[in-house]
Amino acid sequence: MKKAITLAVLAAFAAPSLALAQNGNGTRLAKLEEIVVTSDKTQPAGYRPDAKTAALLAEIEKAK
Amino acid sequence: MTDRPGTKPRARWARLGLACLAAAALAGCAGAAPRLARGELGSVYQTAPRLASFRFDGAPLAPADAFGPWAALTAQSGPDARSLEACLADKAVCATPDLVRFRRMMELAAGLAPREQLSLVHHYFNQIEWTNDTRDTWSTLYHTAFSRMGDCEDIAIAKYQALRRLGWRAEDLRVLVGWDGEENDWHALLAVRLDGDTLVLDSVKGLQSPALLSSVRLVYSISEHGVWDHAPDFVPVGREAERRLASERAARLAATERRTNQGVLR
Repeated sequence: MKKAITLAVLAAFAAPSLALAQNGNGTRLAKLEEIVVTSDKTQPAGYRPDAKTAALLAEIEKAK
Repeated sequence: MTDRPGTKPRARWARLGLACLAAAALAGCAGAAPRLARGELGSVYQTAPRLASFRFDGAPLAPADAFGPWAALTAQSGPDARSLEACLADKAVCATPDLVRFRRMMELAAGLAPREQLSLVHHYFNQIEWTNDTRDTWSTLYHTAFSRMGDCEDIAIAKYQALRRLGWRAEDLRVLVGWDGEENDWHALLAVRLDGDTLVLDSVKGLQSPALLSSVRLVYSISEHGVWDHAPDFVPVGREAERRLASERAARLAATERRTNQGVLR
C-alpha cells in the first residue's frame, strides 16, 4: 500500500515535469526553426582539390 | 526573527523549509528562461560557442523528425529516393545530364578509400551553382543532383545523403548550422568523423578542421538521429525578421555585384 502511494505521488509530480520538459523542447525547436538559412555568398574560391580528385572530377564532367 | 505567539519551533522550521523550496524552484525557473535577443542577431556572439567546440557526443534535444525543415526533407526524400535509385541502377532513366554525372561520381566514389570518397563528394557538390534561397527550403540529394543548384544547406544535405549512400554511418555525419561572422550570414556545413578526427566540409572554405573556421558560431546540428542545440541561451529574432534580414542581405549583395560589374569597385 505504502509503495502504491509513493508511486502515485511520484507519478503525479513526474508527469507534469515531463510534459513541461517536452513542451519546452518543442518551444525551443520552434525557435530554432525560425533561423532562415539562406545564402548570399558568391561561388567559393581560393582552394583546389588534390590532383587525384581533380582528375576524377574531370572524368565525371565527360560522362554522358 | 521572533516566533509568532503559539507557534511551535517544529512548525516554524517546516514553514522555513517550504519557503526555501519555493525560492529554489523560482530561481531554477528563472535560470532556465532564455535571455532576450539583442540587436539584429540576438545574442549569438555572446551565447553561441565557436565551431571548434563541436563534438559528435551528447544527447539530442529532440528526434530529427520533430524539426520542421528536416521532417519536410524526410517526406520528400522518399519519392525522390525512388527516382534516384532508378537512375543509379540504369543510366538510361537518369532525367538530366547532371544526374548522369552524379551517377558517375557515385560509381567512382564507391571504389575509393574513405578519405578520397570524402574529397570527391565534397568537391563535386562544391561545384554546383549557388542560388539565393530566401524561402529556405531544404532540398533532397535528388533535387540538388538533378538541378546542380542550391545553397549552403542544400550542399551540406547533398553531401550527407551521398555519403550515407556510400555506406557512411549517420553517427559520423552531422549538418551544422551557425552564424558566420566573416560572411555576415547564416551558414550550414557538414561535419564528418573519420578515424576519430572531426572534419568540416565547408562549401565556402573547403575541407577543414573545425578549429580553422573560427568565424562561425554554432547554434544547432542535425542528422537522422536527432537535433542538437549547441547554444541554448541564444534566442533567434523570429522568422519574419529573419526573412526580412535575408532579403536585405541579398539586396546588398546584388547592389555590390552590380557596382562591381559597372567597374565602380575593383
